[in-house]
Amino acid sequence: MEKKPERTITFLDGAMGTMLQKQGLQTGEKPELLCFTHEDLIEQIHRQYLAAGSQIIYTNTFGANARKLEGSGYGVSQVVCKAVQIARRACAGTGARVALDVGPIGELLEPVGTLTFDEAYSLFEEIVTAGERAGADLVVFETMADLYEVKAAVLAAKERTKLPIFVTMTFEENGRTFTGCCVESMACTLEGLGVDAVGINCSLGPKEIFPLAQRLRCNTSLPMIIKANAGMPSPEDASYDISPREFAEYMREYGKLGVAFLGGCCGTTPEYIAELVRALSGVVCEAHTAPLCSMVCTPSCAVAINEVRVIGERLNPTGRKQMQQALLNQNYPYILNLALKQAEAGADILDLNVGFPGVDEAALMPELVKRIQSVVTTPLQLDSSNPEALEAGLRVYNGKAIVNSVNGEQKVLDTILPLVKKYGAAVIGLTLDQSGIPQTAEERFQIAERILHEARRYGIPSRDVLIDCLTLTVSAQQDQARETLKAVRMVRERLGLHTVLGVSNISFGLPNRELITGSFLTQALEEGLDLPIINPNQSAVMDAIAAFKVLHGEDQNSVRYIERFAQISGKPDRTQEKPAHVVDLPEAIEKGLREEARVLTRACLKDRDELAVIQELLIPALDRVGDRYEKNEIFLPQLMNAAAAACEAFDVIKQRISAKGMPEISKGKIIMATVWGDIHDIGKNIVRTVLENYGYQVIDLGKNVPPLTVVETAQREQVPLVGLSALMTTTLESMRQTIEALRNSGHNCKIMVGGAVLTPEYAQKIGADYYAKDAKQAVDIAKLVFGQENA
Amino acid sequence: MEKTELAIDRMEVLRYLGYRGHPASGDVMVEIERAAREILQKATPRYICRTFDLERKAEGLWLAGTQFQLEGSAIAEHLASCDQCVLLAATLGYEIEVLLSRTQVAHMTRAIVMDCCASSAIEFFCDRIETLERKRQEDKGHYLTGRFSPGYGDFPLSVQRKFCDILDTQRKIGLYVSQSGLLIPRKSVTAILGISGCRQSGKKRGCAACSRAATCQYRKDGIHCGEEA
Repeated sequence: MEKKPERTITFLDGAMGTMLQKQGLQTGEKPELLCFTHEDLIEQIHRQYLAAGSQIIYTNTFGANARKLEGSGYGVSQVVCKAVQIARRACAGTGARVALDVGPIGELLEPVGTLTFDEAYSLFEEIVTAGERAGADLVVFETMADLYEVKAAVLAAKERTKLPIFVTMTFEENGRTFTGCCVESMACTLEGLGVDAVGINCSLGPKEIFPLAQRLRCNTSLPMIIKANAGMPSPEDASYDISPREFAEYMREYGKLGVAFLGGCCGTTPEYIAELVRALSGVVCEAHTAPLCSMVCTPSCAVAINEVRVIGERLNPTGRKQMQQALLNQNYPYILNLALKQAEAGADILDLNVGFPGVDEAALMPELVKRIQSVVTTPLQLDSSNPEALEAGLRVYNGKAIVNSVNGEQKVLDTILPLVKKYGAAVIGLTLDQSGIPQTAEERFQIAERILHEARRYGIPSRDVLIDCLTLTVSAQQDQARETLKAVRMVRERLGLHTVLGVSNISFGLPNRELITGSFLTQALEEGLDLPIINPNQSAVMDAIAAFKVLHGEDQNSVRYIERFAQISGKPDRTQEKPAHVVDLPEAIEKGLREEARVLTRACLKDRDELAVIQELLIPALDRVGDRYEKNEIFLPQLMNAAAAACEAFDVIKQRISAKGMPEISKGKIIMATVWGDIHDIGKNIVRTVLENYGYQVIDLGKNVPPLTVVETAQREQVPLVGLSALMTTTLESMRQTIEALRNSGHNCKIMVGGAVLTPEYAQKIGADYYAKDAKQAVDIAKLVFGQENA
Repeated sequence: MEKTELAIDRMEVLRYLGYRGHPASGDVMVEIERAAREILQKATPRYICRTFDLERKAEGLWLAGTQFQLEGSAIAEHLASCDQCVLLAATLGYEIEVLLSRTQVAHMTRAIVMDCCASSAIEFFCDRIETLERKRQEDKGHYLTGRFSPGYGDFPLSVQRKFCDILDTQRKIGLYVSQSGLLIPRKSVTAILGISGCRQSGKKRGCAACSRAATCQYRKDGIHCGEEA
């Protein structure tokens, strides 16, 4: 075996901020501006670190982004250029390299924050292009807490510069960042995105970071970076608790771990670096050699494919009428609910397919990726044959996804694999090609081999290639079930790859499908299938997997199996929870009894048609609930319980309607949105739920919605009523702008507004047609706009 | 940044839910218990406090050694007898936001109750910090005023950014400010507490100093938020 050249540890610098504070930097002052006012001081600090032995120094540009520099009188490129010049000058003749230092933007990204991914990308783009022009040797994104922000930064640097990219994130002792990102997710996402080195800085001292560094070592083959604080901060003042000598002692351990880049963060000074260099100079950092596990992730959930992992199949319109309708109507709550149900049932990964005639796949894929990721932490598998949709989805995906799929056709491989490589995803290869699905296991194996070969040619590691040997319907092609199973074993044993199968396909056209599906699944698992694509809400199938994991030792001491069935047998008897007697559907609604509402709706549909159930039973019940709420006889929880029960009733009715092939019931379309800049959406969601109860089709645009999105949707969907919500005085202006944009667009619609800080007077002032105090009033307004006769 | 135990005041939750003294049914109480449990389990409460000297200049009140002016007459009045003040920022953390969004998908009622529980929890958390800080000051022979937050009276919400920058809340406790001035995570509080050599009256901050004075539902109904109708 060829031996890699030995490499010794490279030393980074220590803190800049600490040094500046020692020189009297005021709290709240922007350190980057000292490049102009105290140029010599900055250069001196760089020189001190170089004298202490630093081989890479970080420029004084941690907060040099457009948001943080706003109002300072200086532009990004101006500050970056100056700071790089100073660092370059300090390095002259030393052979040391200059790293463009980039910290977090300072605002949180969507979905919890309001900064969009594209905005973050542009902000980073501005910094890194300026840094490259100014002559930086590399860029380092440090002290990052949000993996999504890191992804925007890395993409900007990759797409817009040729600079090598270092990334360090900052963790708490529990191994998570403030936004919940774990060490493993950082490692697998960034290795996928192709950064040059990855590591940890700030927050903790070298002692506390060490166990996290060990976890990182197990999950990356990239060179590692550690920049620890000088211990933990004292609660009294800004001092840190370990000496330069102690710091260096702790850092020795990192040498043994094979860390390639070592330096200091808050509280460290040139003395710390000098001690560090003394202790570790000449130490060889061994390259990581242990094979990495296949892994996909979201920031807070890393799924290692080291045991059977279930891929949920339900986010797919094929053969699912309600999902088709939801995609066409942008009924996101329905889709999110499906995602959540699968995750709760134990799916480890969720397949997402939005392809359906009439759907703009390239627009909907990223939209749904973002929305699903805002409520579910389960990793996603983007399922499409449309490269634009795949790229759009991969770009905004937070973490490492799976692409479903490529096949043996060269054109497909050449289109999709570059995307897989660029965004660092895993990929499913279907064992078919332009001539169709081969009938023998051997031929399918050959295609798998070719896909693997091509993937590696594009730089995709084999651990990220997952092979689907294709399930064919046994009622149509009976001999194929065994060929599929045989192919699974061949791929597993001869190529060592993980395999995927859309298991449910096996049983189409046969009675008692679950039995066939379950039996085939068990056999396939036995042959080495480890990524079954199934419906996790069928408990029989999930039970079979739980049992398999016990029998194959994946579930050690049967812990999870026991837990699974303890939960089921330990469930309280539902019948005892029920109140003694529910007479009819209206009563079930008024009392907020979901299960009863469902059962009673089915009963009512036996002697009435769908519309009659809605008009004669549901709506009057909801009206009574609304009246009682208004009179303070019942309160918000009961109102919403009633709404939830009505939703159940509606669900039954909708299923019936779509089964009959009748057009959907809609009394009219209403847009709901929390305005740009605002993220308080619970009030809006309450109103949406109640409006849906009354049979209106609500297009929920979510929170932090740009005015243009509201206008475009209103025009495209011909919406007569728009509801806007804002909770803060600071975002009322944004509400006003949205109304203005709607009016200026010439689109004829009524606008209702609501939210805690609004008053009827203010609503009128900003040009709204109606002020809705609560959900009840919103319904009254809708009745007015769409006409009572309709209601 | 120390950890402090959290709790949730059930009566306060009912008040947030609009009950105002009306009895709540058993199932609502069960829902509150469940929501409270989940909030307490998922919360990662963190806070940061820092003491500053106050500097009175011709053009107004400043935090000494910083570029932060405390604008408005309301905060000046609040700190009238003080030479120093404590800046406090506290948050229940990121995970609560995700929990609230997730719960809204399938259980709107539960989400509403959780939201109210989280509001109560952050208030409780701030009360605890205030008590600790009060004790610390009293040990030194000083007295602490109540909490005064951006948005009260004429102390503008637009100071949130500077406030959080000065405490470095993003790095220290994961508290961000959006471009529109919102605290993120939402279940977070920033406040100023004055430090004075003389005993404080302990009188309650009135409606005039409240950011909701113009739109408050309680005021519209002719009562106060501490009261039960």
